[in-house]
Amino acid sequence: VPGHRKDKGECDLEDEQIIELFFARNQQAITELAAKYGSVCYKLSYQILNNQLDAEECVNDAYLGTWNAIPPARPNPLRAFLCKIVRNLSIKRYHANTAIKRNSIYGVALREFGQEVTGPDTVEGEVEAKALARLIEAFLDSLTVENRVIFMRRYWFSDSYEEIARRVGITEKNVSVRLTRLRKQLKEHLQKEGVLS
Amino acid sequence: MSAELFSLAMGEISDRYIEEALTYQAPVKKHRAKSFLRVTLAACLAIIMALGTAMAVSAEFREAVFGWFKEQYQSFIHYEYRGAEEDHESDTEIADIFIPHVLTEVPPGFVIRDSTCDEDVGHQHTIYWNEEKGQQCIVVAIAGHESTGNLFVEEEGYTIHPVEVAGVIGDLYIPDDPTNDGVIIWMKDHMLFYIAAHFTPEELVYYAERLQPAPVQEEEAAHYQLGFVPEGYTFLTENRSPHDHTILYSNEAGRTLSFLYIWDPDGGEAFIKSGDTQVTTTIHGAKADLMLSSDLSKEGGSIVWTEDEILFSISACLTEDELIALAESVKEVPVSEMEGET
Repeated sequence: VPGHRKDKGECDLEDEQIIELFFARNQQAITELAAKYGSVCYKLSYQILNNQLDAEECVNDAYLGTWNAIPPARPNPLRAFLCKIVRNLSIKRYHANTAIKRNSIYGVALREFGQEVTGPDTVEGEVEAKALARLIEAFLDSLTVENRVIFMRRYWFSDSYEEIARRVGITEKNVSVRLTRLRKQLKEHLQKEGVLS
Repeated sequence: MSAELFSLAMGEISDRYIEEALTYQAPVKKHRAKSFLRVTLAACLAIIMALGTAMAVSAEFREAVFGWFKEQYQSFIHYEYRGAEEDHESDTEIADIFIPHVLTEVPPGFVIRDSTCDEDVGHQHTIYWNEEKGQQCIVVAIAGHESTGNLFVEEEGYTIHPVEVAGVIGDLYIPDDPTNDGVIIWMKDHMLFYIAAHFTPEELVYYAERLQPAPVQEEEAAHYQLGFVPEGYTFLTENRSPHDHTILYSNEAGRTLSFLYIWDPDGGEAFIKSGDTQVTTTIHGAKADLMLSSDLSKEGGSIVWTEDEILFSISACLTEDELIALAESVKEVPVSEMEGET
Protein backbone atom coordinates (compact mmCIF):
# COMPACT_ATOMS: atom_id res chain seq x y z
CA VAL A 1 0.00 0.00 0.00
CA PRO A 2 1.66 3.21 -1.09
CA GLY A 3 2.07 6.29 0.96
CA HIS A 4 1.08 5.13 4.40
CA ARG A 5 3.96 7.01 6.01
CA LYS A 6 2.91 10.35 4.59
CA ASP A 7 2.36 13.08 7.11
CA LYS A 8 -1.09 14.07 8.18
CA GLY A 9 -2.38 16.97 6.19
CA GLU A 10 -1.43 15.73 2.73
CA CYS A 11 -4.97 14.50 2.22
CA ASP A 12 -7.55 17.22 1.74
CA LEU A 13 -10.54 14.90 1.73
CA GLU A 14 -13.08 14.80 4.51
CA ASP A 15 -13.72 11.44 6.17
CA GLU A 16 -17.09 11.20 4.42
CA GLN A 17 -15.40 11.61 1.03
CA ILE A 18 -12.88 8.88 1.83
CA ILE A 19 -15.71 6.59 2.88
CA GLU A 20 -17.49 7.32 -0.41
CA LEU A 21 -14.33 6.20 -2.23
CA PHE A 22 -14.44 2.94 -0.23
CA PHE A 23 -18.08 2.50 -1.18
CA ALA A 24 -17.21 3.08 -4.82
CA ARG A 25 -14.51 0.39 -4.43
CA ASN A 26 -11.96 2.94 -5.58
CA GLN A 27 -8.46 2.00 -4.40
CA GLN A 28 -7.67 5.69 -4.10
CA ALA A 29 -9.56 5.34 -0.80
CA ILE A 30 -6.62 3.53 0.77
CA THR A 31 -4.13 6.08 -0.57
CA GLU A 32 -6.21 8.90 0.88
CA LEU A 33 -6.68 7.04 4.16
CA ALA A 34 -2.94 6.47 4.37
CA ALA A 35 -2.17 10.08 3.54
CA LYS A 36 -4.53 11.35 6.19
CA TYR A 37 -4.04 8.89 9.03
CA GLY A 38 -0.98 6.83 8.06
CA SER A 39 1.31 8.70 10.37
CA VAL A 40 -0.83 8.29 13.49
CA CYS A 41 -1.45 4.62 12.64
CA TYR A 42 2.21 3.82 12.12
CA LYS A 43 3.21 5.56 15.34
CA LEU A 44 0.52 3.75 17.30
CA SER A 45 1.62 0.39 15.94
CA TYR A 46 5.32 1.13 16.43
CA GLN A 47 4.80 2.10 20.09
CA ILE A 48 3.30 -1.34 20.62
CA LEU A 49 5.64 -3.42 18.48
CA ASN A 50 8.91 -1.47 18.57
CA ASN A 51 9.65 -2.85 15.13
CA GLN A 52 9.41 -0.85 11.93
CA LEU A 53 8.64 -3.76 9.62
CA ASP A 54 6.02 -5.28 11.91
CA ALA A 55 4.41 -1.88 12.40
CA GLU A 56 4.25 -1.26 8.65
CA GLU A 57 2.71 -4.68 8.08
CA CYS A 58 0.13 -4.13 10.81
CA VAL A 59 -0.86 -0.77 9.38
CA ASN A 60 -1.18 -2.30 5.90
CA ASP A 61 -3.28 -5.12 7.37
CA ALA A 62 -5.45 -2.47 9.02
CA TYR A 63 -5.97 -0.76 5.66
CA LEU A 64 -6.96 -4.10 4.18
CA GLY A 65 -9.30 -4.69 7.12
CA THR A 66 -10.84 -1.28 6.53
CA TRP A 67 -11.21 -2.04 2.80
CA ASN A 68 -13.03 -5.25 3.69
CA ALA A 69 -15.16 -3.53 6.31
CA ILE A 70 -16.29 -0.50 4.27
CA PRO A 71 -18.83 -1.18 2.88
CA PRO A 72 -20.99 -2.19 4.61
CA ALA A 73 -19.67 -0.29 7.64
CA ARG A 74 -19.79 3.50 7.58
CA PRO A 75 -17.69 4.30 10.65
CA ASN A 76 -17.91 7.65 12.33
CA PRO A 77 -15.40 8.76 13.46
CA LEU A 78 -13.26 7.05 10.84
CA ARG A 79 -9.96 7.78 12.57
CA ALA A 80 -10.93 6.11 15.85
CA PHE A 81 -12.29 3.13 13.90
CA LEU A 82 -9.02 2.77 12.00
CA CYS A 83 -6.90 3.28 15.12
CA LYS A 84 -8.85 0.55 16.92
CA ILE A 85 -8.11 -1.90 14.12
CA VAL A 86 -4.43 -0.92 14.14
CA ARG A 87 -4.19 -1.29 17.92
CA ASN A 88 -5.97 -4.64 17.98
CA LEU A 89 -3.87 -6.07 15.15
CA SER A 90 -0.66 -4.73 16.72
CA ILE A 91 -1.48 -6.21 20.13
CA LYS A 92 -2.28 -9.55 18.49
CA ARG A 93 1.12 -9.46 16.83
CA TYR A 94 2.78 -8.31 20.05
CA HIS A 95 1.52 -11.40 21.84
CA ALA A 96 2.47 -13.62 18.91
CA ASN A 97 6.04 -12.34 18.79
CA THR A 98 7.83 -12.88 22.09
CA ALA A 99 11.04 -11.28 20.87
CA ILE A 100 9.65 -7.77 20.90
CA LYS A 101 7.94 -7.85 24.26
CA ARG A 102 10.66 -6.33 26.36
CA ASN A 103 11.41 -3.15 24.52
CA SER A 104 8.18 -1.57 23.36
CA ILE A 105 6.50 1.27 25.23
CA TYR A 106 3.33 -0.80 25.21
CA GLY A 107 5.22 -3.56 27.07
CA VAL A 108 6.56 -1.09 29.62
CA ALA A 109 3.12 0.46 30.14
CA LEU A 110 1.61 -2.98 30.53
CA ARG A 111 4.22 -3.94 33.13
CA GLU A 112 3.82 -0.76 35.19
CA PHE A 113 0.11 -1.36 35.19
CA GLY A 114 0.53 -5.02 36.09
CA GLN A 115 2.84 -4.25 38.98
CA GLU A 116 0.70 -1.60 40.60
CA VAL A 117 -2.88 -2.39 39.74
CA THR A 118 -3.27 -6.05 38.93
CA GLY A 119 -1.47 -9.19 39.98
CA PRO A 120 -2.14 -12.83 40.76
CA ASP A 121 -2.93 -12.13 44.41
CA THR A 122 -5.56 -9.53 43.61
CA VAL A 123 -7.84 -11.70 41.54
CA GLU A 124 -11.37 -11.43 42.76
CA GLY A 125 -12.87 -13.24 39.83
CA GLU A 126 -12.52 -12.93 36.11
CA VAL A 127 -14.42 -10.10 34.58
CA GLU A 128 -15.14 -9.83 30.88
CA ALA A 129 -13.23 -7.29 28.85
CA LYS A 130 -16.40 -5.48 27.81
CA ALA A 131 -17.64 -5.19 31.39
CA LEU A 132 -14.21 -3.99 32.48
CA ALA A 133 -14.24 -1.45 29.63
CA ARG A 134 -17.45 0.05 31.00
CA LEU A 135 -15.86 0.34 34.47
CA ILE A 136 -12.80 2.02 32.95
CA GLU A 137 -15.09 4.42 31.08
CA ALA A 138 -16.82 5.35 34.34
CA PHE A 139 -13.38 5.96 35.84
CA LEU A 140 -12.35 8.09 32.85
CA ASP A 141 -15.54 10.14 33.17
CA SER A 142 -14.57 11.04 36.72
CA LEU A 143 -11.24 12.54 35.61
CA THR A 144 -10.37 16.00 34.37
CA VAL A 145 -9.94 16.21 30.60
CA GLU A 146 -6.18 16.63 31.05
CA ASN A 147 -5.81 13.58 33.27
CA ARG A 148 -8.06 11.55 30.97
CA VAL A 149 -5.88 12.43 28.00
CA ILE A 150 -2.73 11.53 29.96
CA PHE A 151 -4.22 8.14 30.88
CA MET A 152 -5.41 7.44 27.34
CA ARG A 153 -2.15 8.51 25.73
CA ARG A 154 -0.23 6.15 28.01
CA TYR A 155 -2.49 3.09 28.08
CA TRP A 156 -4.26 3.28 24.73
CA PHE A 157 -1.68 4.93 22.48
CA SER A 158 1.36 3.69 24.47
CA ASP A 159 3.00 7.14 24.34
CA SER A 160 6.23 7.79 26.22
CA TYR A 161 6.28 10.16 29.20
CA GLU A 162 8.18 12.66 27.06
CA GLU A 163 5.52 12.64 24.34
CA ILE A 164 2.70 13.00 26.85
CA ALA A 165 4.51 15.88 28.60
CA ARG A 166 4.91 17.69 25.29
CA ARG A 167 1.28 17.13 24.30
CA VAL A 168 -0.24 18.18 27.62
CA GLY A 169 2.18 20.98 28.42
CA ILE A 170 3.56 19.67 31.71
CA THR A 171 6.88 18.19 32.79
CA GLU A 172 7.84 14.53 32.40
CA LYS A 173 8.12 14.30 36.17
CA ASN A 174 4.58 15.61 36.49
CA VAL A 175 3.38 13.02 33.96
CA SER A 176 5.03 10.29 36.00
CA VAL A 177 3.46 11.50 39.25
CA ARG A 178 0.04 11.89 37.70
CA LEU A 179 0.12 8.42 36.13
CA THR A 180 1.08 6.92 39.48
CA ARG A 181 -1.90 8.67 41.07
CA LEU A 182 -4.20 7.65 38.23
CA ARG A 183 -3.21 3.99 38.54
CA LYS A 184 -3.87 4.20 42.27
CA GLN A 185 -7.25 5.83 41.67
CA LEU A 186 -8.15 3.21 39.08
CA LYS A 187 -7.19 0.45 41.47
CA GLU A 188 -9.43 1.98 44.14
CA HIS A 189 -12.23 2.35 41.61
CA LEU A 190 -11.95 -1.30 40.55
CA GLN A 191 -11.82 -2.38 44.20
CA LYS A 192 -14.95 -0.35 44.91
CA GLU A 193 -16.65 -2.04 41.96
CA GLY A 194 -15.65 -5.46 43.28
CA VAL A 195 -13.32 -6.36 40.43
CA LEU A 196 -10.23 -6.29 42.63
CA SER A 197 -9.96 -7.36 46.22
CA MET B 1 -7.50 -9.66 36.52
CA SER B 2 -4.35 -9.49 34.44
CA ALA B 3 -2.64 -6.57 32.75
CA GLU B 4 -3.46 -8.25 29.43
CA LEU B 5 -7.16 -8.22 30.30
CA PHE B 6 -6.83 -4.52 31.14
CA SER B 7 -5.21 -3.93 27.75
CA LEU B 8 -7.99 -5.90 26.06
CA ALA B 9 -10.60 -3.85 27.91
CA MET B 10 -8.88 -0.63 26.85
CA GLY B 11 -9.41 -1.76 23.27
CA GLU B 12 -13.15 -1.91 23.94
CA ILE B 13 -13.67 1.58 25.26
CA SER B 14 -15.73 4.16 23.43
CA ASP B 15 -14.40 6.04 20.41
CA ARG B 16 -15.03 9.35 22.14
CA TYR B 17 -12.12 8.84 24.54
CA ILE B 18 -9.85 7.97 21.61
CA GLU B 19 -10.95 11.02 19.65
CA GLU B 20 -10.52 13.23 22.70
CA ALA B 21 -6.96 11.98 23.22
CA LEU B 22 -6.21 12.46 19.51
CA THR B 23 -7.54 16.00 19.29
CA TYR B 24 -6.59 17.35 22.70
CA GLN B 25 -4.77 20.66 22.63
CA ALA B 26 -3.03 21.84 25.77
CA PRO B 27 -4.76 25.02 26.94
CA VAL B 28 -2.84 28.23 27.30
CA LYS B 29 -2.10 28.37 31.00
CA LYS B 30 -3.66 31.33 32.74
CA HIS B 31 -2.01 32.71 35.82
CA ARG B 32 -4.69 33.72 38.22
CA ALA B 33 -4.25 34.66 41.84
CA LYS B 34 -5.81 31.85 43.77
CA SER B 35 -7.99 33.13 46.52
CA PHE B 36 -9.88 31.13 49.07
CA LEU B 37 -11.94 34.25 49.72
CA ARG B 38 -12.92 34.38 46.09
CA VAL B 39 -14.17 30.81 46.13
CA THR B 40 -16.11 31.43 49.32
CA LEU B 41 -17.68 34.56 47.91
CA ALA B 42 -18.59 32.75 44.75
CA ALA B 43 -20.50 30.19 46.72
CA CYS B 44 -22.30 32.91 48.62
CA LEU B 45 -22.84 35.26 45.75
CA ALA B 46 -26.05 33.99 44.31
CA ILE B 47 -28.66 33.11 46.83
CA ILE B 48 -31.67 31.28 45.57
CA MET B 49 -34.64 31.37 47.87
CA ALA B 50 -38.16 30.16 47.51
CA LEU B 51 -39.65 33.34 48.83
CA GLY B 52 -42.78 33.93 46.89
CA THR B 53 -43.88 36.52 49.42
CA ALA B 54 -40.63 38.41 49.71
CA MET B 55 -41.89 41.23 47.61
CA ALA B 56 -45.34 42.72 47.43
CA VAL B 57 -46.73 42.68 43.93
CA SER B 58 -50.24 43.75 43.15
CA ALA B 59 -52.74 41.06 42.17
CA GLU B 60 -53.82 43.10 39.14
CA PHE B 61 -50.28 43.25 37.91
CA ARG B 62 -49.84 39.50 38.41
CA GLU B 63 -52.87 38.73 36.35
CA ALA B 64 -51.90 41.11 33.60
CA VAL B 65 -48.43 39.84 32.85
CA PHE B 66 -46.22 36.86 33.38
CA GLY B 67 -42.56 36.36 32.88
CA TRP B 68 -39.30 37.21 34.59
CA PHE B 69 -38.96 40.61 36.23
CA LYS B 70 -36.00 42.31 37.80
CA GLU B 71 -36.16 44.74 40.71
CA GLN B 72 -33.87 46.24 43.30
CA TYR B 73 -34.43 44.77 46.75
CA GLN B 74 -32.17 46.19 49.47
CA SER B 75 -28.63 45.31 48.34
CA PHE B 76 -29.87 42.58 46.01
CA ILE B 77 -31.12 42.43 42.50
CA HIS B 78 -34.25 40.31 42.70
CA TYR B 79 -35.22 38.22 39.68
CA GLU B 80 -38.78 37.06 40.07
CA TYR B 81 -41.09 35.07 37.88
CA ARG B 82 -44.62 36.43 37.89
CA GLY B 83 -47.24 34.17 36.46
CA ALA B 84 -50.91 34.67 35.64
CA GLU B 85 -53.28 33.08 38.17
CA GLU B 86 -54.06 30.12 35.95
CA ASP B 87 -50.42 29.61 35.16
CA HIS B 88 -49.31 27.74 38.26
CA GLU B 89 -50.05 25.17 40.95
CA SER B 90 -49.60 22.21 38.66
CA ASP B 91 -46.41 20.17 38.80
CA THR B 92 -47.09 19.05 35.27
CA GLU B 93 -46.95 22.63 34.15
CA ILE B 94 -43.60 23.16 35.84
CA ALA B 95 -42.30 20.04 34.17
CA ASP B 96 -43.50 21.40 30.85
CA ILE B 97 -41.65 24.65 31.42
CA PHE B 98 -38.44 23.11 32.69
CA ILE B 99 -36.06 21.98 29.98
CA PRO B 100 -32.83 20.35 31.20
CA HIS B 101 -29.78 22.14 29.84
CA VAL B 102 -26.18 21.00 29.46
CA LEU B 103 -22.92 22.71 28.64
CA THR B 104 -21.99 21.61 25.14
CA GLU B 105 -18.42 22.58 25.88
CA VAL B 106 -16.92 22.09 29.31
CA PRO B 107 -14.34 24.63 30.53
CA PRO B 108 -10.90 22.95 30.33
CA GLY B 109 -9.99 21.04 33.48
CA PHE B 110 -13.45 21.24 35.05
CA VAL B 111 -15.40 18.21 36.22
CA ILE B 112 -18.80 17.94 37.86
CA ARG B 113 -18.44 17.89 41.64
CA ASP B 114 -22.11 17.88 42.51
CA SER B 115 -25.47 18.26 40.91
CA THR B 116 -28.81 18.98 42.53
CA CYS B 117 -32.27 18.99 41.05
CA ASP B 118 -34.67 20.56 43.53
CA GLU B 119 -38.07 19.16 42.76
CA ASP B 120 -39.68 20.04 46.11
CA VAL B 121 -40.13 23.64 45.15
CA GLY B 122 -40.18 23.05 41.43
CA HIS B 123 -37.54 22.41 38.85
CA GLN B 124 -34.31 24.12 39.67
CA HIS B 125 -31.18 22.39 38.48
CA THR B 126 -27.77 23.32 39.84
CA ILE B 127 -24.48 21.84 38.68
CA TYR B 128 -21.26 22.52 40.54
CA TRP B 129 -18.12 22.21 38.43
CA ASN B 130 -14.68 22.14 40.02
CA GLU B 131 -11.19 22.04 38.65
CA GLU B 132 -7.98 20.86 40.25
CA LYS B 133 -6.89 24.21 41.64
CA GLY B 134 -10.15 24.70 43.46
CA GLN B 135 -11.81 27.00 40.93
CA GLN B 136 -15.55 26.60 40.94
CA CYS B 137 -18.18 27.13 38.29
CA ILE B 138 -21.86 27.06 39.22
CA VAL B 139 -24.42 26.56 36.48
CA VAL B 140 -28.08 27.02 37.40
CA ALA B 141 -31.30 26.63 35.42
CA ILE B 142 -34.62 27.59 37.03
CA ALA B 143 -38.07 26.97 35.61
CA GLY B 144 -40.18 30.10 35.35
CA HIS B 145 -42.94 29.44 37.86
CA GLU B 146 -44.26 31.29 40.86
CA SER B 147 -43.25 28.51 43.21
CA THR B 148 -39.63 28.58 42.09
CA GLY B 149 -38.94 31.78 40.30
CA ASN B 150 -36.94 33.81 42.80
CA LEU B 151 -33.29 34.65 42.57
CA PHE B 152 -31.51 37.22 44.69
CA VAL B 153 -28.09 38.39 43.57
CA GLU B 154 -25.84 40.54 45.70
CA GLU B 155 -25.20 43.72 43.75
CA GLU B 156 -22.64 45.36 46.00
CA GLY B 157 -19.11 45.02 44.70
CA TYR B 158 -20.22 44.41 41.11
CA THR B 159 -20.82 46.47 38.03
CA ILE B 160 -23.72 45.23 35.93
CA HIS B 161 -23.47 45.37 32.16
CA PRO B 162 -26.14 44.39 29.63
CA VAL B 163 -24.87 41.66 27.34
CA GLU B 164 -26.34 39.65 24.49
CA VAL B 165 -26.42 35.96 25.24
CA ALA B 166 -28.35 33.20 23.48
CA GLY B 167 -30.28 35.80 21.48
CA VAL B 168 -31.53 37.76 24.50
CA ILE B 169 -30.14 40.55 26.66
CA GLY B 170 -28.75 39.29 29.93
CA ASP B 171 -26.87 40.80 32.86
CA LEU B 172 -23.14 40.46 33.20
CA TYR B 173 -21.90 41.04 36.76
CA ILE B 174 -18.26 42.08 36.62
CA PRO B 175 -16.63 42.08 40.07
CA ASP B 176 -14.88 45.23 41.25
CA ASP B 177 -12.37 42.95 42.98
CA PRO B 178 -10.81 40.82 40.23
CA THR B 179 -10.29 37.96 42.67
CA ASN B 180 -14.05 37.53 42.92
CA ASP B 181 -16.11 35.50 40.49
CA GLY B 182 -18.14 37.01 37.70
CA VAL B 183 -21.77 36.15 37.07
CA ILE B 184 -23.93 36.09 33.98
CA ILE B 185 -27.72 35.88 34.17
CA TRP B 186 -30.22 35.63 31.36
CA MET B 187 -33.85 34.64 30.91
CA LYS B 188 -35.19 32.78 27.94
CA ASP B 189 -38.27 30.67 27.19
CA HIS B 190 -39.65 31.17 30.71
CA MET B 191 -36.44 29.89 32.25
CA LEU B 192 -33.68 31.76 34.06
CA PHE B 193 -30.06 30.71 33.77
CA TYR B 194 -26.96 31.84 35.51
CA ILE B 195 -23.30 30.94 35.56
CA ALA B 196 -20.98 32.08 38.34
CA ALA B 197 -17.28 31.44 37.88
CA HIS B 198 -13.88 33.07 37.95
CA PHE B 199 -13.95 33.56 34.21
CA THR B 200 -13.30 36.65 32.14
CA PRO B 201 -16.45 38.43 30.90
CA GLU B 202 -15.78 36.99 27.42
CA GLU B 203 -15.49 33.46 28.86
CA LEU B 204 -18.73 33.88 30.81
CA VAL B 205 -20.57 34.86 27.64
CA TYR B 206 -18.81 32.08 25.71
CA TYR B 207 -19.94 29.34 28.11
CA ALA B 208 -23.38 30.91 28.54
CA GLU B 209 -23.84 30.53 24.78
CA ARG B 210 -22.93 26.88 25.18
CA LEU B 211 -25.60 26.10 27.74
CA GLN B 212 -28.05 24.34 25.45
CA PRO B 213 -31.13 22.12 25.88
CA ALA B 214 -29.99 18.60 26.67
CA PRO B 215 -30.54 16.20 23.78
CA VAL B 216 -33.56 13.99 24.26
CA GLN B 217 -32.47 10.47 24.99
CA GLU B 218 -34.05 8.22 22.43
CA GLU B 219 -34.84 4.67 23.29
CA GLU B 220 -31.86 2.63 22.25
CA ALA B 221 -32.39 0.14 19.48
CA ALA B 222 -32.02 -3.54 20.28
CA HIS B 223 -28.64 -5.23 20.13
CA TYR B 224 -28.01 -8.39 18.15
CA GLN B 225 -25.09 -10.77 18.15
CA LEU B 226 -23.86 -13.90 16.44
CA GLY B 227 -24.73 -17.08 18.31
CA PHE B 228 -21.20 -18.31 17.66
CA VAL B 229 -18.03 -17.07 16.04
CA PRO B 230 -16.46 -19.33 13.39
CA GLU B 231 -13.32 -21.13 14.48
CA GLY B 232 -10.17 -19.07 14.13
CA TYR B 233 -11.98 -15.72 14.18
CA THR B 234 -11.71 -13.29 17.07
CA PHE B 235 -13.35 -9.94 17.73
CA LEU B 236 -11.59 -7.08 15.95
CA THR B 237 -13.69 -3.97 16.44
CA GLU B 238 -17.21 -2.60 16.23
CA ASN B 239 -18.98 0.59 15.28
CA ARG B 240 -22.46 1.54 16.49
CA SER B 241 -24.13 4.58 14.98
CA PRO B 242 -27.66 5.91 15.55
CA HIS B 243 -28.66 3.86 12.50
CA ASP B 244 -26.60 0.71 12.37
CA HIS B 245 -24.16 -1.55 14.18
CA THR B 246 -21.18 -3.26 12.57
CA ILE B 247 -19.10 -5.89 14.35
CA LEU B 248 -15.89 -7.11 12.78
CA TYR B 249 -13.95 -10.30 13.45
CA SER B 250 -10.68 -11.40 11.88
CA ASN B 251 -8.62 -14.54 11.70
CA GLU B 252 -4.89 -15.22 11.61
CA ALA B 253 -4.91 -15.05 7.81
CA GLY B 254 -6.21 -11.50 7.94
CA ARG B 255 -9.67 -12.45 6.64
CA THR B 256 -12.47 -10.28 7.95
CA LEU B 257 -15.94 -11.36 8.97
CA SER B 258 -18.42 -8.52 9.19
CA PHE B 259 -21.81 -8.66 10.87
CA LEU B 260 -24.01 -5.64 10.23
CA TYR B 261 -27.57 -4.74 11.09
CA ILE B 262 -29.43 -1.55 10.17
CA TRP B 263 -32.58 -0.58 12.03
CA ASP B 264 -33.05 2.91 10.60
CA PRO B 265 -33.81 2.67 6.88
CA ASP B 266 -33.39 6.44 6.52
CA GLY B 267 -29.94 6.54 8.02
CA GLY B 268 -28.17 3.39 6.93
CA GLU B 269 -27.39 1.57 3.75
CA ALA B 270 -25.49 -1.56 2.87
CA PHE B 271 -23.63 -2.28 -0.34
CA ILE B 272 -23.07 -5.99 -0.75
CA LYS B 273 -20.85 -7.44 -3.43
CA SER B 274 -23.16 -9.33 -5.79
CA GLY B 275 -20.85 -12.35 -6.16
CA ASP B 276 -20.79 -14.91 -8.94
CA THR B 277 -23.77 -16.90 -7.72
CA GLN B 278 -26.96 -15.68 -6.09
CA VAL B 279 -29.16 -18.04 -4.15
CA THR B 280 -32.38 -17.44 -2.26
CA THR B 281 -32.89 -19.13 1.08
CA THR B 282 -34.64 -18.45 4.38
CA ILE B 283 -33.29 -17.25 7.72
CA HIS B 284 -35.60 -17.45 10.73
CA GLY B 285 -38.38 -17.96 8.22
CA ALA B 286 -37.60 -14.75 6.34
CA LYS B 287 -36.39 -14.61 2.75
CA ALA B 288 -32.63 -14.21 2.50
CA ASP B 289 -30.26 -13.55 -0.40
CA LEU B 290 -27.00 -15.44 -0.54
CA MET B 291 -24.28 -13.99 -2.75
CA LEU B 292 -21.35 -16.30 -3.25
CA SER B 293 -18.01 -15.88 -4.95
CA SER B 294 -16.66 -18.65 -7.15
CA ASP B 295 -13.53 -18.69 -4.97
CA LEU B 296 -14.82 -18.67 -1.41
CA SER B 297 -11.36 -18.86 0.11
CA LYS B 298 -10.44 -15.49 -1.38
CA GLU B 299 -13.57 -13.47 -2.07
CA GLY B 300 -16.06 -14.89 0.39
CA GLY B 301 -19.78 -14.49 0.29
CA SER B 302 -22.57 -12.53 1.89
CA ILE B 303 -26.01 -13.26 3.20
CA VAL B 304 -28.63 -10.56 3.60
CA TRP B 305 -32.09 -10.77 5.10
CA THR B 306 -34.71 -8.54 6.72
CA GLU B 307 -36.36 -9.36 10.00
CA ASP B 308 -38.71 -7.09 11.98
CA GLU B 309 -37.79 -4.26 9.62
CA ILE B 310 -34.12 -4.67 10.47
CA LEU B 311 -31.68 -5.43 7.65
CA PHE B 312 -29.04 -8.00 8.59
CA SER B 313 -25.90 -8.79 6.62
CA ILE B 314 -23.02 -11.19 7.20
CA SER B 315 -19.99 -11.18 4.90
CA ALA B 316 -17.12 -13.62 5.28
CA CYS B 317 -14.94 -16.18 3.53
CA LEU B 318 -17.28 -19.02 4.49
CA THR B 319 -19.19 -21.67 2.62
CA GLU B 320 -22.89 -21.42 1.84
CA ASP B 321 -23.79 -23.77 4.71
CA GLU B 322 -21.54 -21.94 7.14
CA LEU B 323 -23.02 -18.56 6.22
CA ILE B 324 -26.55 -19.88 6.66
CA ALA B 325 -25.69 -21.48 10.01
CA LEU B 326 -24.11 -18.24 11.17
CA ALA B 327 -27.14 -16.20 10.05
CA GLU B 328 -29.50 -18.61 11.80
CA SER B 329 -27.51 -18.14 15.00
CA VAL B 330 -28.11 -14.37 15.11
CA LYS B 331 -30.08 -13.49 18.21
CA GLU B 332 -31.28 -10.40 20.01
CA VAL B 333 -29.44 -9.55 23.18
CA PRO B 334 -31.97 -8.56 25.84
CA VAL B 335 -31.50 -5.09 27.29
CA SER B 336 -31.32 -6.58 30.78
CA GLU B 337 -28.45 -8.81 29.66
CA MET B 338 -26.68 -5.83 28.09
CA GLU B 339 -26.95 -3.91 31.35
CA GLY B 340 -25.66 -6.87 33.27
CA GLU B 341 -22.77 -7.17 30.91
CA THR B 342 -21.88 -3.53 31.13
